[in-house]
Amino acid sequence: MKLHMRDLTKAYHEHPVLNVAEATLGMHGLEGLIGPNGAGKSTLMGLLTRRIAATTGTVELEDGDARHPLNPIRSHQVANLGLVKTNQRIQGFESLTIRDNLRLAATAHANETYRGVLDQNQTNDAIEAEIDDYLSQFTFADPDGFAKSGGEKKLLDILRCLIFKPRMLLMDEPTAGLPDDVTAKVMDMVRAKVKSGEMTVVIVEHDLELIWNYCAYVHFLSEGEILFHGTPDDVKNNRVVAEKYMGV
Amino acid sequence: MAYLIFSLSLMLIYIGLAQMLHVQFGLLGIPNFGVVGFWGLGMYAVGVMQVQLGMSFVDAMGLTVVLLVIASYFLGRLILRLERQAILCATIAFSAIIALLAVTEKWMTMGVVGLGTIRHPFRVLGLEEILFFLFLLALIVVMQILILKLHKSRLGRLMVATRDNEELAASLGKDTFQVKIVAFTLTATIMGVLGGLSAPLNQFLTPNMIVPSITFAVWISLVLGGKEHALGAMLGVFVTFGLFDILIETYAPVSPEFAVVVPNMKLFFYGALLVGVLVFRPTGILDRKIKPEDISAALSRGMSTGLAGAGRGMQSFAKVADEKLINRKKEDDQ
Repeated sequence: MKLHMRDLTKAYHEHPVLNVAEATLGMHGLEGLIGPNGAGKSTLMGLLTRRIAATTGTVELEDGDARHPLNPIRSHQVANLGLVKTNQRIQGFESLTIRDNLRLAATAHANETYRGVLDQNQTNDAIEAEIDDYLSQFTFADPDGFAKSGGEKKLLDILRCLIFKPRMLLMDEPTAGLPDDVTAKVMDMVRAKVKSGEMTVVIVEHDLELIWNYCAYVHFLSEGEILFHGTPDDVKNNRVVAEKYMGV
Repeated sequence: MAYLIFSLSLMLIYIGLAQMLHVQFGLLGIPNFGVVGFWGLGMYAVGVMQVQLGMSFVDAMGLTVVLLVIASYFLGRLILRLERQAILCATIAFSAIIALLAVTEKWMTMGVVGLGTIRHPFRVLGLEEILFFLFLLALIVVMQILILKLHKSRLGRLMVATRDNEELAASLGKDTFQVKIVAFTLTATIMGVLGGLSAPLNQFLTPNMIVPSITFAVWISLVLGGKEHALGAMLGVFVTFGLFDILIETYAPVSPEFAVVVPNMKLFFYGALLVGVLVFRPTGILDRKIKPEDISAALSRGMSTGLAGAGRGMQSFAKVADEKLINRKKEDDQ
């Protein structure tokens, strides 16, 4: 899946924070989006998933031959087209156990009906097997209870998105709050899923090592505009990026 | 006897209202402070259609349901996207409008003169009241079973997720607004139906029946019983309305000189009980982590203690429930 943006701008009280003339994300499997604080990275992520409404411009999701304009639709419809985002700040459903969190994400919304109330059925074997698989790979202090620490909540946020089986995944600072070994595990899993063609991924990250290690292509955002994009080596050697971001 | 049946019928109406509020607030997080508005709308609609238009109870109720669905759907569309505080204010305003219309639209409601008499739907000589009570009882039992099932269903899980973090639920492909508006329309309509069923119970309707204290009584019951627990509504009404309004106010052997202060004492105990529960058990008597199975296990253990009966039963119930809670807390803490 690819995301096309055209003349995308966002202004708060006439103060422009983002201005992308034209860009496409998702052409290279695993892509990175880097830029200094306040460059508009998270705003861009929010615009792409319709969590934030754009001031002007269009976003289109390309899925094979079909092109879905995202402007007229709401956030849950974007997700059901296959585009999902992990969160920078910790988000969660406090009253649901880890397993229920994953069950919720894995259950299609069409199955959450009033008719289903009479069956009292909250899950099925396929979903349970998938959850067991995830929980065998990632350790939680109490896998049958609730996510406790910030790290567990952050990990759960990412697992919720993965078990949803998106076709395109946006990851907003996945390493913030996660221990290094868990980050590596998550990223290896994401890379495997991208290789097998299950999904395309865009990662917003300040941890440049991670970007260089995992991403095939990198976009550089500064002051609301995409100033440069290319392979990690191109970006590393680019003068604009060095000046504006890496402080060389 | 007739008075007891009337009181118990009224208690069932309160349980029903609290059950619906449990779905709205306990599961979905919609703070509906206009309970009495929906109840009053249903009650007056049935009353007006029967008395002024001469319709039968069943016809009046059918038309009232249509009216309630339309009213609650449009109100829901207007307010359910708003912040919780705004929903709270809007629903209070809604109930105030209904109360005011009952006074001002005299051509329909007879205003403060009052509207009557509303006939009982079951016309069996001498058995009207008891049959109506049994009908209400069946209705409440069915609703309680459905709520218990809802808690164990996919839809119930989605409702809880919507309450916890609506934006996050939407980002996982859940149409949270639709979930809220359908559930709100359904539960608010049932609140109105309970109002319609209160019409033959009261037989004579006056605008001063539509008072905020009904909303508050339902809220207090739910918060006391446990707003997130499937059985919280029922228990809450038992310990407030059941205990104070029926048991103590009517049947406690109080000497005449103290009888005058009983209603005031009742308010005092309501308040003291609420404060006590909120201090020691902020989530209500039934914390959401106590499962209905635990309660039935505790109750059967209580029953089997035999002679001590109800007293011991309550004790063992409280103990088992507490143990379960402590164990769960311990597990959570680990």
